[in-house]
Amino acid sequence: MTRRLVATAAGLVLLASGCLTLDSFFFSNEPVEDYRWDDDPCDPQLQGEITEAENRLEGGPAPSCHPSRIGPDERHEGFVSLEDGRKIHYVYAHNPAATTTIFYSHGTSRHLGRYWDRVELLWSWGYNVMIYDYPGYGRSEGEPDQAGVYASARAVLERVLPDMPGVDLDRVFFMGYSLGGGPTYQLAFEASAGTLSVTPRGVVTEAVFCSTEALIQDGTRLDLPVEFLSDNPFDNCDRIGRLDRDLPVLLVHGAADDFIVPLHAHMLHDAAVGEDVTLLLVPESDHSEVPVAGRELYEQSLRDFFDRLAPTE
Amino acid sequence: MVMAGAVVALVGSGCAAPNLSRTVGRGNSELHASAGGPFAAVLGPPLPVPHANVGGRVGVSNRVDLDGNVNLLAMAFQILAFDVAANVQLYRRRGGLAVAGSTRLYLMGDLDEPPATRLYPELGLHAGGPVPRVDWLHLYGGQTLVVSPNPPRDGSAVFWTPFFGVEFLLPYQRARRGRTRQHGIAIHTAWMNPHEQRNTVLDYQPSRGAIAVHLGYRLRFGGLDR
Repeated sequence: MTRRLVATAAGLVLLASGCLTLDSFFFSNEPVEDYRWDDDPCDPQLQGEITEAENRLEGGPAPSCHPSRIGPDERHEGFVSLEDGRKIHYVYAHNPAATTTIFYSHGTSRHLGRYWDRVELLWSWGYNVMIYDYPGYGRSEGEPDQAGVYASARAVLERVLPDMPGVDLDRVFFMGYSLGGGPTYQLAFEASAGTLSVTPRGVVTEAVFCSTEALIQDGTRLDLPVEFLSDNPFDNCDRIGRLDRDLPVLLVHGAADDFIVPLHAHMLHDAAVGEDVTLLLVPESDHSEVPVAGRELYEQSLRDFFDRLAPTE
Repeated sequence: MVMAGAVVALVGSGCAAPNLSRTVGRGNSELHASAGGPFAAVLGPPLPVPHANVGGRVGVSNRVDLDGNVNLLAMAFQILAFDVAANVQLYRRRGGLAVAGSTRLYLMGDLDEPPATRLYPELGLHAGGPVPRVDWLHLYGGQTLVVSPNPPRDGSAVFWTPFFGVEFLLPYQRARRGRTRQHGIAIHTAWMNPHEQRNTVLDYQPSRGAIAVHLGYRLRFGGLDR
């Protein structure tokens, strides 16, 4: 009996060893064959977070998704290849009246269709918006990892954005939401170091974490090193601390965010070294609700930031 | 990432064998296993994180045990998580209340990139005994205090975990050869950091600390638990 018990326990250990990884929980990607932008009533792939938040906070009866408010003439879709051959999908929303462009890096959920209503919102304010999918997300090929996230952002920014209609490379802002804070701060860091061909006028991040390690430590309440649990050591606090001091940064965070708690926004703010760094905590707003719960404050703050740093002549 | 947090929430969730109120006695030993952990909304509804622990203890004297456990779920994620402890019988009355103290050391290491390690010491107090006239049914309770030497920002330096459990002792088996055996099955509940009200990536339930539930089993060789 004893020997059987010991053998069973040893078997369990061997069976369990090495068969799981934690990073599969970090990226919540979902492949998509195509986005049916103009389907009426709507393509479920375009079910956006803002629309969901509106339903949740305002009690509907808004539909869960809607056909794209940005028409086919304003949408420019395509692919760009990474060095390893993976093709990265991007969509550029061109606003003919815009003089400013926002380079948008989305969160971890599904694919860019999940964030299309955020693109629509920025576009409706009078800006061009470029959004893209990380490897393994939407129509982009491969599997997601930190290096691939950075590489896809760099490829779209440097090799695609300059050729898009209406883009003035001197009037570009980097914006990232949640996971998108990683590539946003990485690109801003590279621009500050002079290794990127596009220099942003400013950086906006929303609901972004300080680092993967801080996320792990916040969740476990222990001082565990990041390498225990992840091969994707995003370190936005490190990057924000190494940006050009003249590069303005706006940090937006929901004060009631219980997914990435506001502590991370404070940590980012404390790590920043720039002379123009603003922390905006939106009251009563959860992780994905900032544009809805803080509608006027959100719009006013972002538009003021963009228009102050890139005024229309 | 939610699962990532859940996986390492083992410290303070009761990695050790549930009922430690009685030492096993000199020369006796015990094998134990448990499954369960803190409730977390990892995949939707809040469910106990399925930690699986196996371990054992041996009596170095009638009043002192040495105890050790390994967490299998953490190992599945390439994290070596085990603990070693010494349990000391502070008070014991035959067929009645028993009280033991424990000093434990949790060790966590990265199997991918050794030698990154973390150590967390724990002090514990355990009390238990049979229900009067129902000697196969034991109630036990106590509390543990795990120290986190370098807590993250806004994190607590201690994990304070009161616990309570019910253990069903199966009829012992007299061995023709070797030692008499006794099986025990326990339902163990613990409340980690009940003073703490804070939501995190790991969605503890309820928001005041975390409730943990374990199902425990032990097999004792000699030194019947009575």
